[in-house]
Amino acid sequence: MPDTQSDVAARLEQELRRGVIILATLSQLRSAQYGYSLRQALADKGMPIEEGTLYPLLRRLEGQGLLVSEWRIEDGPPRRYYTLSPEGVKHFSDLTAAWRGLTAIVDGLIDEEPVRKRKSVS
Amino acid sequence: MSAADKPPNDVSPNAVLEAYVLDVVRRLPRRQRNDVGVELRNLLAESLRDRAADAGHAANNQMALDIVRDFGRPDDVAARYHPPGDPIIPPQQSAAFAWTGLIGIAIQWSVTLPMAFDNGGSAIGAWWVTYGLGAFWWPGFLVTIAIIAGFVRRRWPASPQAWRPKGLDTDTINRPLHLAGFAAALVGIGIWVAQAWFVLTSSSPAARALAFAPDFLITRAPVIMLYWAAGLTLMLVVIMEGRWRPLTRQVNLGLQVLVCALMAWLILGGPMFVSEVADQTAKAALGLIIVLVVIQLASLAWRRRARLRPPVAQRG
Repeated sequence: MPDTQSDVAARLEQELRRGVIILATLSQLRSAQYGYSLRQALADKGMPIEEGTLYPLLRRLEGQGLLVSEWRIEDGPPRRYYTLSPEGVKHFSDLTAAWRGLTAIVDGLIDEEPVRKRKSVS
Repeated sequence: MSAADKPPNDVSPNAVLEAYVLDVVRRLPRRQRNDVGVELRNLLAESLRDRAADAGHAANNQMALDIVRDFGRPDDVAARYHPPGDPIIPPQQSAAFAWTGLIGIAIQWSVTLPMAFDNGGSAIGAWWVTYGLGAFWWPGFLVTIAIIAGFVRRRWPASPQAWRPKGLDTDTINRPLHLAGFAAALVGIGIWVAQAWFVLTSSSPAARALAFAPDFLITRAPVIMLYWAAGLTLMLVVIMEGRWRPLTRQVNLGLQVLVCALMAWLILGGPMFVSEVADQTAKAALGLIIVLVVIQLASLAWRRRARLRPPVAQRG
């Protein structure tokens, strides 16, 4: 069955969001969070991320040295808390600068006048 | 929803989560399993608790099943836990790899299966446990080569500067090499003719074993000589011009198609040699040459197809 226009739009937006998941995640890990609380925090701020994407991502970022984690047992089951490592702080700063530059460029592209045809159709 | 999609009623929602977590972690490296498993189980349990609270009733199996299905198939989830690695067969090579493997098996089977039928239907079983299954050495060999190539790729990664344009001028020929080929062809034809004459005049048993069949010498041998004459003429023209041109390319293509038909005629048109052993051996060799020429023609057609063509301008 062919995709409807709303399916296509949803998929395109998903692609767009996928590109910023890492930056959004790092932004919320300047203070320690565990997987579920991080997901709730992102969703509350308008950036819902599927659990099946977010939890493995935390592990991968930890594997790349951007996050550090530890098990904590408080008033409930054991939870693994993640926070930015010193290397992660540096990468977060670099990514933030890149993001701001990129949004400025894309804003400029979106807002510019459409290119007119050089030759008018007679 | 079908009954098969529903979890059994006599298990707890946590058991559904547990089964899912175990299904995911058994796909992970052993050192990660426990850590990821405990974390994932607790996170899913928390998700289940919140969903039940939102629904205003106790968690049930269906709710647990919905959560894990939203989470993803265990295969996909386990893949997300792995850092992206270097696949044994790079995606851009996977189609060529699959075709090379399948064609290799098909060629082996097409050569060996007729022999099984020649020996009657009872030989099929014997064929399957020998040549049939044996043909799978080829994909195994390709995988081994791919593993070695992957190791070389990771150990000595190619630099973008390593790329060099190639095949820009495939029309220019190497004159000395083609002259050597021309001379070798003349010698080969000379030996063939001399051998035909020698066995006619010799009484040696060894020479008689290579004697051509009289009917072959009268009907088909002259046609072979004509074909060779045409081929040598083409070769001479290309050597003199120093390059291939569209006309000589087309003539060459025509000669290759012709040689397939000619060899098929040699095989099917009766004995070529007086000795049956020599005849069967020669015909097997000709059959192999036909296969090679057809592969070469198919490869040529494929390369032509892959070339970029200019788009057709559209009105409107």
